[in-house]
Amino acid sequence: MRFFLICTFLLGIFITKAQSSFQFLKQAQYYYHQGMFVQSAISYERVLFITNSEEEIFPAICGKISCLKQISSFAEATYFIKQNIQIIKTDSLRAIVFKEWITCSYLADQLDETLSLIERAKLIYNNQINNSWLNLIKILALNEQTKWTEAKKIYKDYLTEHQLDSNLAVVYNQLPKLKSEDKAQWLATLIPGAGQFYAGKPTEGVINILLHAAGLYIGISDFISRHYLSAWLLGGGMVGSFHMGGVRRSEELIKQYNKKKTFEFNTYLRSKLVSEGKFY
Amino acid sequence: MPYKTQLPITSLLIRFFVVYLLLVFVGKTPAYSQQLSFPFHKEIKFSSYLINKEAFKDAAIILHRIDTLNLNVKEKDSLFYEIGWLAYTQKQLDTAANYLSKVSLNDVRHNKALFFGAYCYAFQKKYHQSLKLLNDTIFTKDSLLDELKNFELAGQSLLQRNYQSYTAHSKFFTYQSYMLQQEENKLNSISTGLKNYKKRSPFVAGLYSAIIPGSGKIYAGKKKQGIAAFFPVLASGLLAWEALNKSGIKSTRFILMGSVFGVFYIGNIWGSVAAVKIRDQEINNFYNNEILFNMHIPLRNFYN
Repeated sequence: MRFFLICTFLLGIFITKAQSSFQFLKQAQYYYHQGMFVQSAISYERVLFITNSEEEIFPAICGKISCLKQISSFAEATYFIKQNIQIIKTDSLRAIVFKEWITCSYLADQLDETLSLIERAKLIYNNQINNSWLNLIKILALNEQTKWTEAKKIYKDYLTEHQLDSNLAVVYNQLPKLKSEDKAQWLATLIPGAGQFYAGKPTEGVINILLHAAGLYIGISDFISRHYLSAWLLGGGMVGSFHMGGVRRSEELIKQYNKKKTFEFNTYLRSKLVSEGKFY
Repeated sequence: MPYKTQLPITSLLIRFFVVYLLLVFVGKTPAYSQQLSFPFHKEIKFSSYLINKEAFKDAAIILHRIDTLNLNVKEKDSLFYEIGWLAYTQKQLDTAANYLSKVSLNDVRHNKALFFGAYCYAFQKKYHQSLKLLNDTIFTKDSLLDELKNFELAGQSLLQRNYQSYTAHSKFFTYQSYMLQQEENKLNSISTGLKNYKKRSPFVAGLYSAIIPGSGKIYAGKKKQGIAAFFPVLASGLLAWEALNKSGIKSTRFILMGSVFGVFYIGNIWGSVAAVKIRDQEINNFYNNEILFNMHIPLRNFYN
């Protein structure tokens, strides 16, 4: 009887300890399904804090990554993965987390880091991470960096390698025509308002011309009425200010135009590549 | 009346352990909606683990969620110190000062907490609270910590521009310890610099600008602004003068140009007065930052 009682006690204590990390894992999952991602992430961290078992470490790491992705903390997720990936001893499981690392890095807009990770993945996890998927992310990252020629080459090589046929490569022939800031500056310097017209903002161009004309009118009329100082300071000052302002504005408009065009093209390209890119 | 039999002791024990096991297993079917956590000391270790992983927000959530009602004095001290120190590392000085000041004498980190709490208060210009915390620090007289306390008090006196108090506290400077020597000398040079700093008069600055536009700003120590202010006033003045000469005092042109000149001229005087005040503020901020920086270094040297 005494032996039975001692065993019962010890069993109770043992079960309490062994199950605590499991409890936290369950609680983390519960919070996750309730949409309480911050609490869920903390519970996953509790698991990592107390357990040495890879069976629990792996779901805890993946769970926390999912939580951080849900709250769009992609940069934090990349940092978390960087800190914890070495704890996972099994190659196949580490490959899964490495794939998450690449995804989060891309979503965090850390494009150079993404490209570097892809190269590492090709070397280390050649058989474990789908090469097509790596190519897709690489192309997407290169697109974001406006390295479309390089992206197109990789895509074409990929199609050739897998003997696939896709019309999508043609999209790369319709690259957005980005405008030159230098050209806009020169145009605005030589012809008032021309920089704005070049940037695709004719209204601003017309306003700039009118302001120049007003300055010129004041300058000339003051000169004719022998108000030489007014002609020089007021008329000249107005023309000079609007001219310099016009040049700077043209430069800014070109930047905005290029950014918009790049974003639109990349969004279109991204949706096409994901849906019709034949990445399996 | 039914007859009651008394249960044997072994039977009672078996029943007790059946209930115990049931409780254990029922406990293993958690109501996950309730927050699970570690016992206090493990929770503190967990927060340190999170801090080491730079998960500061999570660590703060963990520490703030601990219920102080069930803690003893020692545990409370430990909790307050951890929360305060985390807030201090995160530059949340108000929270840091608030929690560090709660660490009681029983804790070995009492002096450290109060020194840093006082520094956090001083940083926020809450000199009264800062002074109180420094006076609550406990150690033997004539120790190095006593010198540190006087050094911090001297720094606070300088922050408040109380030179008499500074002199009184700086008498305790020994210039012997490598942890304080350099900063003691720096505090002395800051004190000299502050005493020698001559405040500029806003009235004189305004007067200078009224005579020569922009000169008030140069007097206030803002040379480039002074030169930049001169030209618009000159240009609008010339336009007004030309309008007066060529179109007459009642002409629309003169009224317009004269008004523009008036606005620039008065604006320039007002700007010079403001420049003196801004300059004073900048100098004060510069010295305050220097004082706070030098007050901080010995604290880190002592407690790292």
